[in-house]
Amino acid sequence: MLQSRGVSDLLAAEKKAQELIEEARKRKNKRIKDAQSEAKAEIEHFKADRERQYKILEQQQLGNRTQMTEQSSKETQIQIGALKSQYESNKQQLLQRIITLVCDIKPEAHMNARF
Amino acid sequence: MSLNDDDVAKQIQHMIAFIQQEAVEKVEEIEAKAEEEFNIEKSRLVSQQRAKIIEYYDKKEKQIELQRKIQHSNLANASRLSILKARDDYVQALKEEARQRLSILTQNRSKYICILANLITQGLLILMEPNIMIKCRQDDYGLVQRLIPDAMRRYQQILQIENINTTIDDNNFLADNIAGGIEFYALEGKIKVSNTIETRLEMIFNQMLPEIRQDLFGINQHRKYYD
Repeated sequence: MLQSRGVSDLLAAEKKAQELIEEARKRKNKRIKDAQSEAKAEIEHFKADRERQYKILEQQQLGNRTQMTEQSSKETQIQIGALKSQYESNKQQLLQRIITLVCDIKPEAHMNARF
Repeated sequence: MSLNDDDVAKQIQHMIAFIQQEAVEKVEEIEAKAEEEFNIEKSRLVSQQRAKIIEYYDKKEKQIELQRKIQHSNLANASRLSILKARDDYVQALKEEARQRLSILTQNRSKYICILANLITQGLLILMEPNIMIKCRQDDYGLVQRLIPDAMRRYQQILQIENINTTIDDNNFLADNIAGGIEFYALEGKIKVSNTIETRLEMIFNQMLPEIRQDLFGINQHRKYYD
């Protein structure tokens, strides 16, 4: 009589233990599955950050682009302006020289002409 | 027997306690393991994806840098080209100014007579042909007619050749808007010598180009060879 109650108590305890362990295993599997979704969330966050970083750089670059173009054309104009003043100050002498040369005509026989 | 009810009950209690203890320990073990595997799996996934994302964005950022460099290079090229074009424009402007000045100069009668006489003689000496046709401006017809005998004399003197005949074309003339000068034709128009002010300017200007560029804009710092 007591024996059967003792045995059934033992069996119950054993069964309870198995249930606890089974539940623990189930939780473990769920936890491992959670790893995937948590990893995904973290990665999305990281990606968004990086994207933001990249976008800032892109905007910066766009701004630089127009600035670079303006600066380049400004510098070019300055140099072309310098050309103009060089031309104006140096041309007189050259013109004189050219005109003199054009009008200075020396009719000569060809150097190989025989007579 | 030795065992009474109490002892049996106690034994059973011990055994139950033992079973429960074992279960608790096992559960703890499982939970620890679960946590560990969770962490491993999560960090594996995260670092794998992170690496891909970093690589992707690094490449994109390199593209931006590349674009920047390309643009810079394009701008430098365009700038260089427009400066070179401006320089060339000024050189051409110089030629035009010279031409205009020459036009004015040849309106000075006495100077023009001297120039024309020399041009005619030079043309004859260059051709060395016995029969020559001369083409001039309509306005210069009379002047050329007067200057030819002397030119032919000089020709005969310099080359010691007697045989020289010239005719002036009275149907075709050079354009009125040129500065002056003449064209010579020999062998029924097969040989042509152009001795106009314009052609002289052209020739002289082209030969002088390096000098002109240097005098106008200064010595080229990048030039390496001078011979």
